[in-house]
Amino acid sequence: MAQTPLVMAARRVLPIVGLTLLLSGVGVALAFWSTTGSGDGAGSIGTIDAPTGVAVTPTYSTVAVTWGATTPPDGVLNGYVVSRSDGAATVDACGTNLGAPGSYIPSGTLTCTDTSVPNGTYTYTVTAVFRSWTATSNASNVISVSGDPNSPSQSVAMTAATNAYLGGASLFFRSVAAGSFQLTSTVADGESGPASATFPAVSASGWTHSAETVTSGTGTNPTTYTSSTFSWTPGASTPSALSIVGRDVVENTVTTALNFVPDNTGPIGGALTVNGVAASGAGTISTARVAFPITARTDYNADAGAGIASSTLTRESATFAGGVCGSFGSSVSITGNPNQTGLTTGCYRYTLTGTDNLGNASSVSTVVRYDVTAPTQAVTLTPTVGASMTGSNIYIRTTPAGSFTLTSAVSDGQTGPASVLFPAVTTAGWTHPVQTVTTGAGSAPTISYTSSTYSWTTGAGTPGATTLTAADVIGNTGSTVLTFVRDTTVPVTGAMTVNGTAASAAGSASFNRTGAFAIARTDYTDAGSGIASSVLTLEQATLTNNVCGTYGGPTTLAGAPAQSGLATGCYRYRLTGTDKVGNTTNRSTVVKVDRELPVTGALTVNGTTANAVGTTSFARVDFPIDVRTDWSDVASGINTSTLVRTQATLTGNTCGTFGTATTLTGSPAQTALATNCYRYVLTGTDRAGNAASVTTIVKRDVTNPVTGALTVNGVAASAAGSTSTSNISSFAIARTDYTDANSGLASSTLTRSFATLTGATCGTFDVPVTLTGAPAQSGLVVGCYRYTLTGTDNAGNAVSLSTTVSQRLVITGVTTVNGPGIAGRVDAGDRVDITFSDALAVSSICSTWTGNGSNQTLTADNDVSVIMTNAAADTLTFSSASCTLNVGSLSLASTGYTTANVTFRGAGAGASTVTWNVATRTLSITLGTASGAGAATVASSTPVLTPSGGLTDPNGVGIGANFTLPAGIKF
Amino acid sequence: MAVVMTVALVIGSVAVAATVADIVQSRMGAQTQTKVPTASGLSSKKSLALRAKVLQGPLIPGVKRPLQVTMTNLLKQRLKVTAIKVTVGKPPSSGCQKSWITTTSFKSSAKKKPIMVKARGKAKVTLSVQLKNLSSVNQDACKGIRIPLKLSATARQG
Repeated sequence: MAQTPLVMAARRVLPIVGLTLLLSGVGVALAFWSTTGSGDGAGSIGTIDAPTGVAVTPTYSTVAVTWGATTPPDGVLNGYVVSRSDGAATVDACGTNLGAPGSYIPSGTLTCTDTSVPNGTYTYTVTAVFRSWTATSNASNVISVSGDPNSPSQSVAMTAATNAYLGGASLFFRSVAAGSFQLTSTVADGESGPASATFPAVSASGWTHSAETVTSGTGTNPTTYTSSTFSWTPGASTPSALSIVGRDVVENTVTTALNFVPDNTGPIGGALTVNGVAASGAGTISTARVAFPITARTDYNADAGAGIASSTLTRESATFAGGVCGSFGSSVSITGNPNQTGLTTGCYRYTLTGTDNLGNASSVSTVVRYDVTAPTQAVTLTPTVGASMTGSNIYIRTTPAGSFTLTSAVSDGQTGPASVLFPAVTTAGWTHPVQTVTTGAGSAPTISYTSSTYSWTTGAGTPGATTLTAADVIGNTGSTVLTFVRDTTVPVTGAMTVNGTAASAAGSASFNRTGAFAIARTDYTDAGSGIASSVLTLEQATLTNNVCGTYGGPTTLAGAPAQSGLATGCYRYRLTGTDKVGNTTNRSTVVKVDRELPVTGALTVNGTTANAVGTTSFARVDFPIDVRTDWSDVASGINTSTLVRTQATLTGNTCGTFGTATTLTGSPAQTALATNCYRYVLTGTDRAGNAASVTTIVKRDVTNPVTGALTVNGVAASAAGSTSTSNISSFAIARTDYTDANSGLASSTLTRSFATLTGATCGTFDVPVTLTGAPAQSGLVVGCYRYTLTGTDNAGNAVSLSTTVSQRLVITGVTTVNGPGIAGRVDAGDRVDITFSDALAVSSICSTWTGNGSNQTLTADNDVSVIMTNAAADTLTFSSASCTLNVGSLSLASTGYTTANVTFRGAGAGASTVTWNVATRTLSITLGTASGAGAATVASSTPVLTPSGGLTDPNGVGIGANFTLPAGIKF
Repeated sequence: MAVVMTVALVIGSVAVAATVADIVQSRMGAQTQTKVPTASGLSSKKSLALRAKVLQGPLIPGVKRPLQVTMTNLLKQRLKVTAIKVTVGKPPSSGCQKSWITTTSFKSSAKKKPIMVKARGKAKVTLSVQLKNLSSVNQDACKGIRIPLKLSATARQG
């Protein structure tokens, strides 16, 4: 890579750079370099021009200022501010202030007016404001302000006054009451302008007001200045004169003096007469029942103080009751003195009131109690024997004779009741003279006046109308017209439904089994004298065999109460209507309540008694209806007692849905019924609807269980019974239990019973024992074994399979025992032990042996011979010189035991022997002295004993299969 | 690479320290000498000159003006300017505060490339300068004066 001259140079100067690096403490590389540069510059800052040509012109205390515009360097000016200088001090002018941007004169405005300028000599400057920059003009021309040599004008008024009045230069006030007011000074000045108003202090006793100079007011010129409140307390003294001073800007003043004048007296000269009675300050009262006049009215016309303000006549109204006026309400003004017409009953208060400018008032009044209301009557009739009164009708039943009195309760809320006039009744058969009754019971506003007796004889006629007249104290009267009406008609429209059955005049009846039912009731009405009563009563009696006993006393039922909780019995409901003159009628109904169920019903089918819940039985054959006792009822009596049979499918011991019912008459035998469920229900129902029943179900099944199977010792069992023989000591059982699709399987049981075996014939089998599951059979003694599998369903249908196994005599064990010789070699002293399953017939072992219950031996010298034959499988055989010996042969399963035939036989201790042990069922053969050579040693073999076919048990049962010894060293 | 840059900075620093008296003032601004490697060793040599000019009129309160900076490469090699800094000098009017003047600067970054200046050539960059408008302070003292500005730059081999 080529290197630049700079890099090369850098390498040459390394010593110097190294020094530099030493100072700076950093590393070195020489590929690039850098440099710095510097320089100067400057920025010019602009400026703004000041306003020019400021000119001022004075007029009295007002100065007009004008100037030339300033052009801003950017955007617009913030505005202008103006200052005034008298040479010693400079102040803001034209309302502007540099520190208050809101006071700036807008940039487009180049004039302003400086007002209220004090006398003196001044110059003005104008400052332009542009953002944070300002520029002030040169001073204006010099002016001299020396205007306004005249005083301002002032007008004083009163405001917010209470109990005070300003009349000219007099300030009236009510010293007996508290009060307050404010004063206003309206100052006008055409030159320097208004500046202030001074309101002096009031220091008199009871007064409150401090001296004050008010400089802020409403309006510009004139300006109205308002004082603070002047106030006083009751009984305050009268202050001295008050001077209010108005000022203009240059302190010219004007003074207005006010004089305090106490005034606590109302106007005078007023007078009033109403309904002929003069009013007074305390008030007067008069009474009238017709329109009345305002007889005379003279208004108030003079006041010694603040002056008359008004004179008014007012009328207030109030209730008039019991001779007493209520509280008077709002008033109405009356102009002039018009007649008082169109008024309603009540109290009226007329008041003439004079009021001065301070509120001091004088008045006179009078009340007129005005009653134009007639008294009212409320007439009643007593007693109501054969007569009654409804509204203005007097109803009478003229047969039989009767009488009554009338009472008129007269009410008059104003002046009160005074009397009642009862006219005479002159109709044939009647007796009552005319009479005016003035004495009654009670007190105003209601007094009851009672007549003498009105009476009639049987068959009397019907009088015409009669008018009762009542009068009040002031003479107002009121009349009541009464009409006599004959009434011989009983009440109508009464109706009642109880327990859903309508009552009738003859009486109706119904049954009820709950003791609860509804009543619907429509009361009687009467179009004549009116209904006096419509009464529902209840009577109760016993109910026996549908017959009601004697009813007890009636009980009145209010309304139409729902009936509930009633016991068994008869209940008679009667609705009776009676009108006010005694005409009466009724209708009734009887409810026979029976809350008892039928009794004594009984049913037994297939030997099983039915009950309310329902019982169940099984039947595999025809069955009877053993017992049927029909139902009875002691209250309303039995209505029906019915036996009904229904049937349903029977599957897995479960009944299906019961179908069509068959009514059974009497107690017929139940025959030829198919496999099904049969339900028998005996139901009794009484007249009230109470029902009782008992039920029993018979599950009828005519089919045996199925699908059972049994195999024992490899042979299938059969209904007829099968057989097999076992030549070994064990065999197996295979078992399939029964099932039942109808009433269901009750049991599937495997049993085994035993019988002796003689030859090939089984003896009598003993009591069977139950086998659980399918246990392997082993260790069985010689005999017959019968295995039976029995299936039984819930209805009792049963089926069986059986098989019999003949267990033969078998060898249960063979062992070889080494004697004193060499193990694994057949030599003298060795022994063979053969154990059998059962005892043997000893003669079948040795033909000369007898006594099966005794042990046996063959020990004689040279009697027993045991020969070991050299063969492919060396074999031991056994024989006796004294008897036929049945042992069989023992194959040694090896050719290594001998190389030549060897005979074991001898005498004495060297003799071969045979012994039979009854207790252990063991036959032992002991080898004697060997003759011949060749015996050898075998490490292991599996000998097989083939028993002699002559071996039997005492019953002649032969021997079974060969026996193979386990592998191992033998002998 | 970092080591190389360090060496270059050291050289630059030495150059400024050694030749500050040799800065050549001119009406246009100042030129700074720096030492660059030569065949015979370090040698003082003019490298980069800066000058600034306010555009669009004089400064007034609240108005930001462009500040045009011209860079002149005095070397025969191309330079890349990586930073320019503008410093306000003391105003000639005592009532005018230099803190009222604000300027912007230049610094290259991943998003802003250095400014390349050809050998013996020139380049320009525009920054800004402003007289702040202080609403509660009277700034009449600043009217009509010139504010001195000092410029410095850093560059490397182009």
